[in-house]
Amino acid sequence: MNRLDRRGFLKVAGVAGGGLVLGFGLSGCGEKAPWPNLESGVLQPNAFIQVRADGAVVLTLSKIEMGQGAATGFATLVAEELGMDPLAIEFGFAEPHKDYGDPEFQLMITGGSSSLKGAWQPLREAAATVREMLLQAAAASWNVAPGECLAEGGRIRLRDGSRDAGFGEFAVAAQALPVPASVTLKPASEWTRIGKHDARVDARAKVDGSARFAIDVQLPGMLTAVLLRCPHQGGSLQGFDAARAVVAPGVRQIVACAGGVAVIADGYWSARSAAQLVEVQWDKGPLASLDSAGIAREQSRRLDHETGKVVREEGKRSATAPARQLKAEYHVPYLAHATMEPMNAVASITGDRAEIWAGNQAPDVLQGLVARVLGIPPANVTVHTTYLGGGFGRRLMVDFCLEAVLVAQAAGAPVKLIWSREDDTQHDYYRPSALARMTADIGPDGALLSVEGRLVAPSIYALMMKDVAPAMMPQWMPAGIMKPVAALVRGNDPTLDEGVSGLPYEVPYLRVEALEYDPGIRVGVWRSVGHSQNAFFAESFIDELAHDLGEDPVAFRLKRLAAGSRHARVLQAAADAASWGKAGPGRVQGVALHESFNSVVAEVVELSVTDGKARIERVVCAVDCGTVVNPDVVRMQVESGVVFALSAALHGEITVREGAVQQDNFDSYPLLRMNECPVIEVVLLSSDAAPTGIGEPPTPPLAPALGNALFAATGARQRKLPLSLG
Amino acid sequence: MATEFTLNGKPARADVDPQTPLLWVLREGLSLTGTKFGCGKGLCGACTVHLDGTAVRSCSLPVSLAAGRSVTTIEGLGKDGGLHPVQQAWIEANTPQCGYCQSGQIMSAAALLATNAKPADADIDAAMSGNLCRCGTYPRIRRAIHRAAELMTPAGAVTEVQP
Repeated sequence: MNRLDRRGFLKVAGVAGGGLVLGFGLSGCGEKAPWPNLESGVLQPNAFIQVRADGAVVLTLSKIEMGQGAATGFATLVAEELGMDPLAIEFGFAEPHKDYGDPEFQLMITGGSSSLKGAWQPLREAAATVREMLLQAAAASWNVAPGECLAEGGRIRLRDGSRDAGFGEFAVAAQALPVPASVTLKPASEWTRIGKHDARVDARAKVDGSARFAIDVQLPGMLTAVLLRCPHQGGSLQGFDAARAVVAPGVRQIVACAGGVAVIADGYWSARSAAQLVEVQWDKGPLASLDSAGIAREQSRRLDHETGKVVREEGKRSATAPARQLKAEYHVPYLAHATMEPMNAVASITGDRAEIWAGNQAPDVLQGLVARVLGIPPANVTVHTTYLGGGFGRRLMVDFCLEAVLVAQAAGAPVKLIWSREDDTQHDYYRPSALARMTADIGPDGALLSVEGRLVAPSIYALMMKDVAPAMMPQWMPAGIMKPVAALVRGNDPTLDEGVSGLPYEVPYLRVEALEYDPGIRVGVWRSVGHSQNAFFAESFIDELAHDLGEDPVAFRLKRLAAGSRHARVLQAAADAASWGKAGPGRVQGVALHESFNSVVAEVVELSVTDGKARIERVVCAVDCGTVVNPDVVRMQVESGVVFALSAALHGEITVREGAVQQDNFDSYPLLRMNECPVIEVVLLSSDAAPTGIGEPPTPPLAPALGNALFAATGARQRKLPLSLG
Repeated sequence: MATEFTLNGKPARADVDPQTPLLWVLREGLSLTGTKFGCGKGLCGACTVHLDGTAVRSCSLPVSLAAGRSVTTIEGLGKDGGLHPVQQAWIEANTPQCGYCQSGQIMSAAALLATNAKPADADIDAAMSGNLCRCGTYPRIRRAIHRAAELMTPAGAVTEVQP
């Protein structure tokens, strides 16, 4: 990776001169480039392209890279307009600045499968602007009309091939030119990289060990810390005895800090070994009597006795009484993110300034929260974002970074705080446990009259608002706004019902009701968020209905989708690719279809059954995610989403006892392994629409498709995750 | 007490408690951070290195057990600063996503191929199921191992000699 922090960026761009720097405004056409640092009342997210005098093209990424391939996608968009190899672009991760904010979130959040969608137009415009200015400068230098020049092969060329030069030759001259009021993007017919380029820009660094994650950061004089946290959620530190631990080799300091006990040592092993010698007394706190069975009972009780908010109601309830009802109840457990890189961060505090190195999905949120914790201005907090060893939503929350800051403050030295795997599993922001009751009315003639869903889950966004929004308050929120904002979220959290309320099928009457119930276990966004459970509820029930009505599950769905619609085409493509209805001997299939993050995915899971035990042989996925920028990166994300969902569907279950998470490492919280991984086939539907999400949409349909396949194989319907293969 | 061993072909020395896991000696003492910490219990394989050519989990291996032996890490896998065929195949197959587990995956794969020049899928399952990947790169790891096996076969060489 070629890192470029903001300071270096400014130095190269402004002070040293000789470079062409351009920002772009999302409001786009016709506006003068607002960078650097023009104040503006409207949201103007920016990313930056720089052409150095040495010819290097440098891209500052407004999004982080956690494996999802944003770096490759962004480089491809820029390379297309500049006529160069995406692999030749240098890139680095942006430090916090409002110009890098996401157009949707208004923050530097990487999430919601939004990266390419958000960058699609403005990043190409920014690159085209750079190209036009270089062409103008070249034309002036060569004394030809600008139309005689083109950018291709990483160089500026005369169209007749008689002359060419590197970008760097014109970087200085171009800087003096006015920024074009508008630019023309390459038409799709001329694309040679979009839709074709596959090689990841981060691959080399990730096979030779040089890719730098936060856990790899070393600073002079840096100490390493571990933190003992109360295992009981909401509990607190009562007292501790570190007499034996503090004399252990390598230990520098043991101190109450960040709600726990920090063991600060020369290295991780010393810190971890000493931590085992600390005797801690915890106050188990308000959740001391909470366990998983109790949570499930309360979920059930709420649906029995309370009404929630009707989040979707369409069509008319049949005037005549139904002949019968189909009812089903589905349940999902809490889940951990289990990124391969455990939470960790490096913090260094000097006077009223702080620097932090972290794999994080929200650099400006992190900056704001560190500023609040230390009582210093956000501008005094420098955030260095590294590669992330997995995110999946976990690293949107920056609790571990704030811990590192507090421990560094206590230590009076730079500190790397490293969570153990056990810490990571037991102190996550979990995918919520949720319960759904689905009901369908069937008419006397066997017609489907209605589908109703009643759902109960905690509000993820209410918690996030509480933890994240304070970071922003001093900057753009008036004081005291948090209460009404949190109230707005309460009762309006789409994560409770998204995926059920978005049911795409035409039914005479559809009603979805969502109830909030927060047992107190902290929850967060987990790859595909509410869709992760709600697709299981919706698509399992649709499958039950199809079987109940004696219809083929694919035909049942197609009949209720508009012919030629995106959903219908995706479902048909998956069915065709999987040879639906014609599975080979000994093979059984199940299907599910789901839209999330503006993309539609259908998956067919194919099983074999031997001695009553099912084996997942193959998963066929059809995807419409708009224009595909990097086909193989999209396939990677589909494979990734399927494997992630398989881990959850087969193994994922976080349980609670006395308010404490009972799982701790990969033996008690297993992930899918190589020997369990099926063949995954991906069909990408062609589209000329703008790109839509891909990091998350492949995850939701897997669990219902698997459950539906297991029903087809065994005749037994499993309505709770994780599923059993028998 | 110092432990002496060979690290990526050169002499190395660790003046630490001999019970210290090799992983932390590599990462903190010797600044070779390509080898990763994932679970601390040998359950995930992110810390895999070679000990005399065999894949071992360095998070659970006291450095004392490396005394007098040869340790190879991801940084030393390629010869003369180049890429090992497994690493080349990994790039060809577009394998890494977040990349965190990949050093361990590559070390396990290289150890497999060192003793099994043409592994079948079942061999790959057996050798690689100790290495977790949360990004789900397993299909590509499988493909990359098969490709690396091809790359490691000298062009035109006779790989099977019939008696």
